[in-house]
Amino acid sequence: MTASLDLATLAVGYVRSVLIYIVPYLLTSLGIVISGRSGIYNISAEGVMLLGASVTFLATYFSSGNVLVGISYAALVGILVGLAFGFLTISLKLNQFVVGTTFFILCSGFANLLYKLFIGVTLTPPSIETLRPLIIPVVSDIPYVGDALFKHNLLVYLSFVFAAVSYYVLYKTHTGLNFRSVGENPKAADTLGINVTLYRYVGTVTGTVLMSVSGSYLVLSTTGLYTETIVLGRGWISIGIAIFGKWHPLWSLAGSALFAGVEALVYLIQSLQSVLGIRTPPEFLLTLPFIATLIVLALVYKRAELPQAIGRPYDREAPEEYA
Amino acid sequence: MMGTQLIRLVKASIPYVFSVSLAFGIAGLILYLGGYDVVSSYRTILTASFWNFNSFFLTLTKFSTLLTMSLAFSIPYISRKFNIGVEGQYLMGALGAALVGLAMSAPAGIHVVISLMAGVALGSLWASLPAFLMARYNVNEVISTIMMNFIARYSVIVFAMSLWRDVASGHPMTIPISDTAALPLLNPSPPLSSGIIFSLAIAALLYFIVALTVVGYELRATGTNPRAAEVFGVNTRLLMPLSLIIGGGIAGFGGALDVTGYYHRLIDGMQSNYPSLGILIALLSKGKITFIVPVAFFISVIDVGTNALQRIERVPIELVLILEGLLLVFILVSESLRWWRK
Repeated sequence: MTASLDLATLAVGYVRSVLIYIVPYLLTSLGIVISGRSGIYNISAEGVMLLGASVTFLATYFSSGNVLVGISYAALVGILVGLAFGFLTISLKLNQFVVGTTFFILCSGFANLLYKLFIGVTLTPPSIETLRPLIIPVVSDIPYVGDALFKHNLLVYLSFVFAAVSYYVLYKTHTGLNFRSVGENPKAADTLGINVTLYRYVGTVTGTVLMSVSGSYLVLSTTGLYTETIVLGRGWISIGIAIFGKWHPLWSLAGSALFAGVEALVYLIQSLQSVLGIRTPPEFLLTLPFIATLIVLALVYKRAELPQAIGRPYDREAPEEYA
Repeated sequence: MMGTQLIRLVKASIPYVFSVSLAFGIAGLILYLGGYDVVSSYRTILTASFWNFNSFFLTLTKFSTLLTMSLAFSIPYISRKFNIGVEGQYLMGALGAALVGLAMSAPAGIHVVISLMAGVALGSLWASLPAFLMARYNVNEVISTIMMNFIARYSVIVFAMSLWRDVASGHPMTIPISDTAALPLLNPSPPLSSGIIFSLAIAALLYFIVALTVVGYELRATGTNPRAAEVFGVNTRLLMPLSLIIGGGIAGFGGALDVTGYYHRLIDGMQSNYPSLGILIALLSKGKITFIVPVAFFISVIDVGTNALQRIERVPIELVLILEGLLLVFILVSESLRWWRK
């Protein structure tokens, strides 16, 4: 391959890969945001994503490549995990960080166990077909822009649509107002006759389904393989994105773009290095997203605005809600 | 008198017996569905540690690792801080010990002590950035310590692939440390490192500190009610980050013990899934050191047993993680269901 350092091609490639990398961050951080808006701080995202990825791979693999089956199973697992998480944190009012940590470990364990039970340890891991790009007519013919923005798989477009929809529902509808009030002041919401428990369950389950489907995307977007390191911290970084985005869907979109930008930059620098013949350990570059997260958190945390009641179980009979 | 006490004890133990049976039942179901013989699998899991001295010493070694890791989680946990960065701190402790063991030369006794100190130093250093971010910018320690885990994993690979790389191995690892940096053995063959003595000593020391000293009292007070502790003159803004740094030091010590006592080199992935097991042990024990010691021993028995089973029948080792995680969930559930205890 000749060194083609054409700036326009480079830019198109960069924007294109940002859009590819944005999806897992976006779906997972939206899941965390929606869950958090109802008052449930779910830190198990990393594990739920891995479980979603594993289940998607297995279901697709054993249904002879039917992607829809794979994603449906991931969504189903997301629902089950969400119900279990909700039962422990909403109904039994257990500490959300304890449950979140446990669920992270349990879901990661189940993900790898299922894969090993069904596939086993193989020399060359089996793979499934990845999602085909959905080329949008007319706009995809625009030079440069078409290549960068309109030749992606369906999940890429859908995740953007979902960000817009969740913004609309949370901030422009009556249900959304009720939903957020449960995360801000559950006692007041309860007094007004809003079903706190129901809203929190809906928030939690929606959140885990998004996390699980985000795992599906990781398997289906580029490699078609399942590996134990496929999530690689994206679930944890998404919590950082939710904090950065002040638990707002559109700001989370911006945060996801930022981190997808960092991730795309890592691979861009790597490919440039091989073109230019510079050798540094790739691990230095791979730490970049994690260092970026630490810096972003340090910059935004003082002014971070969390939903007022996030992380606190709601007990109607408790005399002082904010003791 | 004895009778009522006995009844009370039985009643109190019902949720735990129930939880243990349920967790083992579900893990058994997984084994059954996976096509394994459940009874013989469980026999292996529970007894493999006691088959011979070799596996018993291995159990003690894993016990030492798990003990330090769960202590590293529980000291911050006592003040309500979540140190999920145990993995990174353990790895950096291992890296520190390996660095000293490879780069320095010193007389036998001194060399190993410096190695261990380097491990503690690097482990606590790794926790001190999240501690600083928490103290200065209010950054939640869960995410920051996790980020440090990933950075530590890559640091280990870079270190293991550089100056002291073992070129004979396809996996990133260093060449063995000098003999002078190795911990003395309690038993020459099969080998048992004296690391277990050190980790038990650390557990005893921490128990003493938490139960009997002013700092320990303040730590517990901070965990019970931070605002009340603050009002009564406890400097919680200092104590919480400090507990994280102490946790990091303990995890680093654990990593250094494993390098100087067991692996004798730095290996990428040497932490395996022990950090997760260690965190679950601490949560199961609610951060109480008197519970951590027996629970950690029990989990290392199961871990060694499952590893034996994996070699014989290819049972995935994740089974231990799932068994322990389910156990925690069921205990949490049964404790919070009020109608269980009247």
